This record gives sequence, C-alpha cells and structure tokens, in this order.
Amino acid sequence: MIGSGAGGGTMVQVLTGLGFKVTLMEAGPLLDPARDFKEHEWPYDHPHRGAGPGAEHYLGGYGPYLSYFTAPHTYWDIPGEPYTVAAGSQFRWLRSRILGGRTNIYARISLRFADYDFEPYSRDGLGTDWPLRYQDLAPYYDKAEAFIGVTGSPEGIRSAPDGVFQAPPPPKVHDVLVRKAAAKLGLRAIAMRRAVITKPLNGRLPCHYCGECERGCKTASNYSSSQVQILPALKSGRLTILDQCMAREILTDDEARVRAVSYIDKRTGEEKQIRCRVLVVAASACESARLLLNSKSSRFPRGLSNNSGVVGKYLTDSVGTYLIGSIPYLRNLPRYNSDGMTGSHLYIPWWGWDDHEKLGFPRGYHIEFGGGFPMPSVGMFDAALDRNGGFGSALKRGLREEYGSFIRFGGRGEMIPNEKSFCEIDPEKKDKWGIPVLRFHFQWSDHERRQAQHMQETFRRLIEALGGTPMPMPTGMDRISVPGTVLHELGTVRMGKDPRTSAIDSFCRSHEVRNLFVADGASFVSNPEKNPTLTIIALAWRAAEHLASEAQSGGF
Amino acid sequence: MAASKNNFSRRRWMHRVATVFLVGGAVDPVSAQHVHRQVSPNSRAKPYDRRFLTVQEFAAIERLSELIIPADAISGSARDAGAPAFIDLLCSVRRELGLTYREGLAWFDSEMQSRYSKRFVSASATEQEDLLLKLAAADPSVAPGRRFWILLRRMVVDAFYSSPLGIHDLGFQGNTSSTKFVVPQHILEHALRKSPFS
Repeated sequence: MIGSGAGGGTMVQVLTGLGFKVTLMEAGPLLDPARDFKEHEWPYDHPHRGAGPGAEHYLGGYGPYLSYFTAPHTYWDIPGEPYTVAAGSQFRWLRSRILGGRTNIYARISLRFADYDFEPYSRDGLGTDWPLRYQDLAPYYDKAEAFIGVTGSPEGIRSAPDGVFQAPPPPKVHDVLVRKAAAKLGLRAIAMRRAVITKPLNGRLPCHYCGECERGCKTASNYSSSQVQILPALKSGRLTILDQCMAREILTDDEARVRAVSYIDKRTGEEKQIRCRVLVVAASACESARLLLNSKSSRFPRGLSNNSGVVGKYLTDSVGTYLIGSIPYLRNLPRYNSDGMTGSHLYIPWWGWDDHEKLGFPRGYHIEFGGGFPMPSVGMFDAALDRNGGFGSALKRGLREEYGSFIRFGGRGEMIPNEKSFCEIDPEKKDKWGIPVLRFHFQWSDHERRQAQHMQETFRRLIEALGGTPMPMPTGMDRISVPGTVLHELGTVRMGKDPRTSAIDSFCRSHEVRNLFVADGASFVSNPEKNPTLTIIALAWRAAEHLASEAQSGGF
Repeated sequence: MAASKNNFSRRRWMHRVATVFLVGGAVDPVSAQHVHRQVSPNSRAKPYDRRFLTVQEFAAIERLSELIIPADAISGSARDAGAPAFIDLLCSVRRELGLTYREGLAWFDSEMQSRYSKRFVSASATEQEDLLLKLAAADPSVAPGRRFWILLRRMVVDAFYSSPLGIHDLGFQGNTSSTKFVVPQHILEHALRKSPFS
C-alpha cells in the first residue's frame, strides 16, 4: 500500500480486518497525536503567538488553510520536492507528508454523491458516466458512515442522500439566521454531515466541541485515517508501516504484473525495493498519477497502466468562491461559546438539479457558511484593518463591536473535466531524490465561471435576506478560486468500463496490470459538488472487499 | 546506530499511540476534559530579554503599541499585552523583518526630527498622534512611512488580540471542552429579535 490517507487507510483497515498482511508506505513520518496535534493551544502559549517560529505568518510561509496550529507536515511547498505549472495555467497543490495525510487536517464534511452524480453524461451530454451506480456504492457508504461516524439528519433531498447518521449538534446562532434567510429564498439549510461523532464509537470519545477539527483531534472524535483506521489496525499485528519512504517506481515482470516497488528511504537516502503480491496505490490523486507515469517499461512506454493515455488527464478541482456579509444587528451580540464543531452546523445542499434550462450552467453547488466568535488569532483582523485605517480607542472599540458580526458564504461546485486540465511529468525537473516531478496544466471553462457567478448572486441574495451588506472582495477573489486551492483534486487515473478510455475498473483495479489498484481520488470520473473524502472511503472499501475475494480465489 | 534508534523510537511511538487511542470498552465522558486540561498550559507571561531591537527602538515600539491599542475601561493596552516583546522576538528570527523595523523606526525618528526636532519617543502625545493621523489618512507627506505603518499596526493588533488581555477584551468564551454544545436561548432570541425574522 502506498499512501496513508482516506483511500490507503480504508484499505489497511478492511484488509487487515480480513486477515491480510499489509505493508504501508508513507512518505512522511509517523503521527503521534499527543505531540503533533495542537487543537487546544492558545496563541499566547507561544512567544510567536502562532505567527510561527520563523515569523512565517508575516512572510507568506503558510498560505491558505494552514497555520502554525494546523496538524503538521502539510505544505503548499515542500523543500526539495517541487512541482511546476505550465505557462498560462494556475495550480496550487497542497501535500501532506505524514501518516494520515490530509485527513488529519480536513473539515470532515462527509457528503454522499446523489444518484444522478454517477450518470452526468447521460443527463447533459458533458463528461463521462461512472462505471457504477449509486446502488452499487450505497452499501459502502453505509459501512463507511457507520465506521468513521458521521453526524447529520435524514432529510429526503435528492441531491443529498441520507445516510447512517449520529445525532448532529444544534445549530449555532448564525446557522439559525441563515436557515431563515435561505427559507425566504426557497432554499433549505439542513444539518451538516460531518465525520465528527457525538456518541462514543469503537472506543473513540465523542466530540468535546472545541471547534478546531483542522488542527487534528487528540481524542480522535473526528475521522482521520491515521487515528481511526491505521493506528487501530496495528493491533491486528498484520500491519507494517514504512514511514519516511518515498516510492520512486513500480517494477513489473514479463507478464505485466507488479512484482516490487522501488523507493527511497528518506532517513538514509538509500534506494531500496520491496516485493509485493498486490499493490495498492493511494498516494493522493496527483501523486498516484506521478508514480504511474514515472513507472515506464518497454511494455508500458507511457507509464504503468497507461496504454490508454488517460493517466494524468481530466484533473479537476471543485469550483469555489465566497462572499462575506456584515450583519449589523450582530454587532455587540452577547458572547457565547460558538466553537461547536469546526465551521457551521448547517449547510445548504444543491437545489437546482431539475432546473438547468433556466440556470445557464450545468451541474450544481452546495453552500457552506461560517460565523460566530472564532478563537482570536494572528491575522484575524487583517480585513478589518484594511477597511479601517485608524488607531487608538476608536479602532479598539470598532474591532470589539464587529467581532462575530460577519457571516461568510462559500460555494463548492462541480467542474466538468476538460482536455486542458491535466498533470504530466515535467521533462526537466526532478526532486531531491532524483524523481521526475509533475507539471500542471489547468483551465476553468465558461461552465465553471458561470457557476461561480451564480454562487456570488445567491450569496448576495442570502446576505440581503439576512438584513446584511456584502463586504467588498479583494480583486479577483469574487470570481473563482485558484485551481487546486479547494483541495479536491480528482480524476487523474479515472475508472471506467472501457480500457481504451480509462485506467482502472469500478473496483479500482487496473485494466492492464491485474495486481495493481489505485484507491484514492485519482479514480473519480467526475467531481460532483460533494466533498470527496466519504466517496474515496466508500470506493476503497468496495475495492478492498473485491481485492480480498479475488485473493482468496487465487486471483493474484 | 541509526536503525536501533529508530526502532527504539518506533516502540515508544507504538506504546504512546496505543495508550492514548486504543482505549476500547467504556468511555468516560469527562476524560476529554482531562485531556484538554493536560495540553492547555496557558503559559504565564515571563520577563522578556530584548533580542534584536535597541533600547531606543524597543521604547519606540512600546509607545507606538499603546498609541495603536490603548488601555481603556475594558482592558489594557497592546504594550501591556506584550506587543513589543512579540515584535522584537520575530525581528530576531527573521533578518528581513528586523531590518524593516530598523528602517521603519528610523523613519519615525527622522520625521519627528524634521517636524519638531525631537526623536519620536521624546515628542508630546499630541505630536505623536498627529503623525499617526497623517499615516492613517494616507497623507502624501508621509508616504515613505506608510508601508511600515501598515505592517506595524497589523502586528501590534495581532499581538494584542492573541494575548489573554485581548482575548478577554473580545469576550471569547471558547477553546474549552464540554460534553454538550448549547446555544444560550436568550442570545439566540436577542439576535432574532433584532433580525428581519422577528
């Protein structure tokens, strides 16, 4: 197994549970939650107050989503491990190098695909249909939700299928207000589906409502593959972890079967090999594509399992944009502890699945929002200072009054895969281990731009319904997110029925290399407006059971 | 050698993750609070030894800190909240930041010299505030000092609101652990009463 995020973690859990011996390779260190997670630290616990031991906050060292307090070893730029972006494209790539990968830091939003998400081409003639349907995946969504623990409420909405839910926490003050504003517009705000538990589960404590899920959770009350799947799997005695080991190339035999992986032991810089009966690649969508593309042989001159040429292609990210509303009557609101779970306790699922003729763009988006009284931190008042040039008592009074009086709306929408968005091996550049790096190409199309514009209009209407005023946006930010920055990169080793147009089948198994599986977000055929982690887990679970039954019947 | 060290630390790691996570069986709802207390030391302010700024520069930052966020009936100033130490510490770890402060503070002094023939800290409160008002209004006569002013004000504000004083000033009540998430009914009603939904 290469990679320890949601796909690798699920594979480890299911396969060790079924009695298989698994070796897990992770390019970063092991995770020690007691040492590595900082969810309860105050800024003043550190002389740098969270600006970072090297003043990173002021010198641009963290970038979006990340701070000193975020779960460690996640980077926009990894020293010695670059990537490149082709001229005319924009792309940013967030990578984790630690046991659990980005599941240590994500917002834990857990949304099932809708039935129609599996048949996008059949509905509107764009993109490609999946090789499986909702009913094929539903039992695995059930298993995944029951095992990782997801809070939510049954609502009977087609775009947001109900699942196996624990009771959600009650809405925060701004959640109640947004629910009322949404109702005025004919929209429904419902309990967020989040992989944070409110009841004990498999020895994990329920949420203690400190609101800092992205920092990691010492009590494992939210899902991370590291704490919920991999650490418990160690108890089986069937799991070996090779940490700080970076896969370089997959080696095959004359019969087009994987026989070994060559990798760099980062501690010593030594190159080693490990043999395997079956290999599962789950190194994150783009990293998995990179490994296959770097595994060339006479039989696979374009990279392993890439005789179709699709590996690296059809890279997508979610469409994102946001708008902040200033809500005057929330100024000087009496304070309460609004931490709860990270983010809002409600969200607005997509509503327009039957309305595309009047919408003017295909597919859809859901709306996340945030408000309340966040833990004060460095940078929290940057926007206020941009608006307010002053200083002294008036500034201090103003910041006190406006603290907690904003509601932020963010959209997460579906991008249509296109030919201009892909990753490939850079012909020149190598990382410090000598492994060729990725070069990204990325273009939004008018589908996405029109959708983002629609999001902006909806946010504006919601803010007006709330009795608030939209805040001016930094130039460019009101249009569409920088590709990659929503962190939903998918689709680079897509699944399908036809080996000429896909690399793997619906069980994540390579068409061309029968003991190779790709079990992360790379397998996605489309990128619906559903945060992908839950679907990565469900697909990996299904793939793991298939792998196990094939192995038991001598298939490898 | 390295290998045996790795094996040792791996054993310790296995032991630690096993004791923290693989608890199994009955779960005590207050143990979350226990974990929370264990890891939230709320460190006390310690006396600070200057690292980068000169005595004069540090004094200027002290004065600027209390001009930017002064004490009032609710809380102390940014100076009380340790803004000068915060800035000096970060200047000491990143040379480019330190040089920005060195040049910026020299600009404050030279500006005061040319206006009132005094260093910044020796000027009267009115003279100091007058200069800051010009900076706040982006007056063209102080354009060379504007960029530093923006950084300085941002860092002073950050230092204040990331301190116990500033957190108390804002009335933040979180970063704690509870067995239940509760929205106080009277606060919800207060918000609804003033909203368009009343």
